[in-house]
Amino acid sequence: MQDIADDIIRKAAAGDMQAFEAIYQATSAFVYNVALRVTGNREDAEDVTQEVFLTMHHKLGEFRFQSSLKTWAYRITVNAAINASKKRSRGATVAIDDVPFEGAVESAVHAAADREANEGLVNALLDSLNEDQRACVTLRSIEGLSYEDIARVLGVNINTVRTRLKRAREKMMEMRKKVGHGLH
Amino acid sequence: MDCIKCKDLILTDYIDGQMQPKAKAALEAHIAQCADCAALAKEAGQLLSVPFAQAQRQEVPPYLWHRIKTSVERQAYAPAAPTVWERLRGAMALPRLAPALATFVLVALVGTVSIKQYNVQQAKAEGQGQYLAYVLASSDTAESDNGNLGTSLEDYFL
Repeated sequence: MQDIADDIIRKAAAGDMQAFEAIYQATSAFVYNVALRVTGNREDAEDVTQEVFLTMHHKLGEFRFQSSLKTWAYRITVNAAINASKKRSRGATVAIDDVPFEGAVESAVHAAADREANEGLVNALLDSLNEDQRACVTLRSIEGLSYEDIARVLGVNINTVRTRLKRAREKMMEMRKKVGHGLH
Repeated sequence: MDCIKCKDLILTDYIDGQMQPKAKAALEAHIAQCADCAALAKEAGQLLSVPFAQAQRQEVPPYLWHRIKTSVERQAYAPAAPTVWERLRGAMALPRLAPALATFVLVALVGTVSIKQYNVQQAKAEGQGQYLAYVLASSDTAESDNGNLGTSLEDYFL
């Protein structure tokens, strides 16, 4: 994501809709995708994305430039997505992609480049986690944030990030062992 | 390096590429000598690193900006929600509340006075009861006292 210039943020805070749209264009991709991965379905992801940008628009005047706008946007997104996910409990079936986990594991093993199967696999793996772990894995493994950035976004200690990632990965490995036919 | 620490690192810093070169070299030296840790490193790479590295970003639905823009503009023209102070002031507006408030104050005053009077009467009643009991008890004592002066008329005349 390109850094947003401070004057764009100030203009948007003052009510300039074009400046706010510039912020939207620069941040909506990761906002939507984090919302999608954490909530697990498009409908909630769209609602969360709308909520995030309404919140940003409402609170832009309070933004103090102490962190980057990106970090702030990630934080609002993760909080909103976790809340939405907790409200709607995530079922065993994957809403983003209808490929069942067992089929996804096998497809991924035999045709790793198969994009659809890979999406099913990723979503099934995320589905096995709680919301906090899902957010951590999404920020690290999909969004590519460093441990320090994740700690800043989530407002936790860096070792908490490590612990959540470790437990999430242990859970995903265990799930694979229960369902998968082995990757050996 | 022991296996517990090694496995922790494999599932975190190692597969995330967050290790310093020296620490990474030490870990890889352990992995080279330990079948368990080597298996974990292989599994973690295949199952966790590869699928997530290949995960695709979904396109943001194009209609979403229009939805957000409409909501923002709607919020901009809506009257601002009243503050807590404004709501309190509104609720305390005299024309509406004065009669109710006055009635409440009057009832509270009358009630307080009535309760006080009742308490006084109760105290008096209890006091009278106690006094009566005392008097009755005293009269019993007086009869016996009357019969035991030590200088009874009968004794005198006997």
